[in-house]
Amino acid sequence: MKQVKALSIDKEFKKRTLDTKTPLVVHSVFERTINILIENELFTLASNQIDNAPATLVIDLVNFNECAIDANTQGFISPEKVEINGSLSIDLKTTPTWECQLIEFPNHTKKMSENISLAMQEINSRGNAKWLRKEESKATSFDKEMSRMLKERTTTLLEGFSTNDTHQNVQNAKKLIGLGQGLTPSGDDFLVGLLLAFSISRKDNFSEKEWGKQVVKESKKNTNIISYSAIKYAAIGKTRETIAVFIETLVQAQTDNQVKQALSTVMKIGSSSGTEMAWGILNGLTLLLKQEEQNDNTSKN
Amino acid sequence: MTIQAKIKKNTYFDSVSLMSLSTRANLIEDVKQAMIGMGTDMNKEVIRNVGMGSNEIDQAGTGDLMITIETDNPDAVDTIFEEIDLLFTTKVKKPQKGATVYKSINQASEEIEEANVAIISVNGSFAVREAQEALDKDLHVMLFSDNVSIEEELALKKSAHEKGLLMMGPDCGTAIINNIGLCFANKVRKGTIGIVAASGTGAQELSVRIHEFGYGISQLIGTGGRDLSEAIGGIMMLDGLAALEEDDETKVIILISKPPAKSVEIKVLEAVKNSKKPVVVYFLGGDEEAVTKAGGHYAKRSKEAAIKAVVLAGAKEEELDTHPLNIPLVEEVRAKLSSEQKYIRGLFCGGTLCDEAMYAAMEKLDNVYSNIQTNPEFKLVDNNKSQEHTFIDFGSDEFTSGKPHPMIDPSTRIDRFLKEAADPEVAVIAMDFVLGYGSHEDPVGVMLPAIKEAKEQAEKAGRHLEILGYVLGTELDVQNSQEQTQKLMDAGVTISSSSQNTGLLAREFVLKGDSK
Repeated sequence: MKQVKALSIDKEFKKRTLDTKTPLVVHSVFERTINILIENELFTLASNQIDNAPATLVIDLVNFNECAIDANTQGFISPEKVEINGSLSIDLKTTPTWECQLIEFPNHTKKMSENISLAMQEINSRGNAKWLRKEESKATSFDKEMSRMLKERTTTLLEGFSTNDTHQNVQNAKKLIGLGQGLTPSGDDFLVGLLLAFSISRKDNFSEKEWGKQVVKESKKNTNIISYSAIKYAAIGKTRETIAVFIETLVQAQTDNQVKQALSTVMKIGSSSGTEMAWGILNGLTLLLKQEEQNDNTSKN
Repeated sequence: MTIQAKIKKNTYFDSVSLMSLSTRANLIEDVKQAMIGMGTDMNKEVIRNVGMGSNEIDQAGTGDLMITIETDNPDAVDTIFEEIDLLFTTKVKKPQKGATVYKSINQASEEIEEANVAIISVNGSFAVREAQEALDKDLHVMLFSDNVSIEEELALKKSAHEKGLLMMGPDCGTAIINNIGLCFANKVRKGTIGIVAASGTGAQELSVRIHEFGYGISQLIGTGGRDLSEAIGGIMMLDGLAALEEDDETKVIILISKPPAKSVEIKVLEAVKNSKKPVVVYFLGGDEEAVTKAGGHYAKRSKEAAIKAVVLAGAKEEELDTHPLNIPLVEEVRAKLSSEQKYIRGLFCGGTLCDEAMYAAMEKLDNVYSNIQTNPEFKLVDNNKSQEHTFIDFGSDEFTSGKPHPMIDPSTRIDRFLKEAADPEVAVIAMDFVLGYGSHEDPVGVMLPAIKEAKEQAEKAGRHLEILGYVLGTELDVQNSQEQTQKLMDAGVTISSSSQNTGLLAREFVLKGDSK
């Protein structure tokens, strides 16, 4: 059995290690991550090539190829270790805890606004999500239809937020849940970004909070558990470290290069997931900026 | 038209694999279109919208994987699904036998005491830290990573210089040390010619040409593309030159770079002047008089540099097969092109290959545009849209952000190729296919369906489309240059024998007495 040390543990994962011994089952296996179910909730074991993320345990292993772990393999988690029967034992003693903490929405937004415009231009011209590219590309009718629906539905959703009609906005979001070819569909990734942006709002906006709750509820039924998990955590402002750094960069960066570098790192996530999450974040922050502007105008009037 | 679907219950693949599976499934013979994706209601809706719905699809759950194909050949359905299944099973790469994974440079250097070089390829944010750690361990460094600031590069190079170490990079993609290719490099014989290169594919080109002429490489030292900038001052090229001076096996030295900063060129030529070994200087757009004055051997083009080096190493020029330009071929191609077909479109994976072809075009043609043009007047306004004669380096940052380098995944230029091929004003499309360690296993194979499609469409439109291909590689490379070249020839592509000839041929094809 392969024995390795854990490098860092997310706070949510840590909570699960407090019991004496809880059974787990392997849900899905990838080269650099393994998803496990503990009492029907999804957690992730990640190789040291992956950044910290909610409900994730990063371990000192480059990849899982040599562990020969299959889906449905049983195991257990205890305060000292995570064990997957016969294949992998992860030492949890002295593992530092990590928790995602997003930066707050800034008081001065001029630079952030410029950074957002720059990042949007970059995605339009260089992003790896076909439906967000300006240029036309050779595509099958399926690809074209997918792009059309993603474009239309994201636009409808964003426009809908000006109405404060939570019910309609949830219906609009529902049409994006599960839409896209990747493991985490493009529509889901966009919603993750949007939820993250809303989570840093300084205003305790009831309609957006309620919208987030409903989106999480809908996604449980309408997408796979891995994507649902990302949406669930995004709604409470939790995301992987690279994305958190990207949001921080948008808020604080003083040079174009800083923005481009942070975006470039995000765009390397998945096939196009990083780009789509970034697009959601950028559009979400733009909505918040508009709200701020409207509020300022109202108070001046 | 036949539509069939299969469902794989509770099957999860990461997004990169899923998209790659989908792309490869669409390339299977007889497949009109294929879709592989998760079984969500929304994805089912898209499938229905394009008329590919079926009972099987309706049964899929959110955790299931749907595979839907459309074909005009109902007899091929079983074979298509078998081939798609094969794509799934060949996905996982097993670790190489005997490979040992170390978690840090520190650990690796402690466990392999004889190691003296560290190759670093990590996210740019961590690259400097890792490179400095390697230098602190007295290791020479080859830093493949980019996104390192110029100030950090300078600090690393100064630190290496003080310790007598080589700091190859950042953004260094090619080296051959003691006949072992590092990162992108070709399999060439060992010999007496040493290269110091601030240009990756340029260095590959020189090593391949030297191999073709029957000679070999002692060492090929990369410097990183910014080494000859004003800010860095050519630290690594000077150190590389000094290292080759000291190397007993090296009898002749070649220096290669894209256009260097003037002050750095002067500094490097001063070192050439003091060299005890013959030095061939191939700086794109370089100053012949200054090189000759410094006692160096000036080369205007890459093949010329390789010829000069092998002659200095003992070859007789008259005995070399130097592949002079095929004039009858030029005449033949010109005759096939209509008066409307005026422009070259160069679509390159290799930066220096692109540069060399562009420079050749600029000698005789006006209005040569590129994403890597140093003259702002001729820099493309929109990199996705060609203007008159256009040369694109698909390996430059604006095309590679968030994507693999086109030498690893040449499919990134397929869309652009088809777009150019459909343009009635285009006469010639020139492309490189780079072989060797690190490159795609079958770069020609990836482009063949698109080449076929483009040729057919041009024929339907009643025009001849000249596609000029250059395979950079040797018969010893895993991809085998001869096999790759044959595939291109079978598809009706005109073959160029070198980077130099690629630029010259493309230029000559479009010249009709209206040159500068």
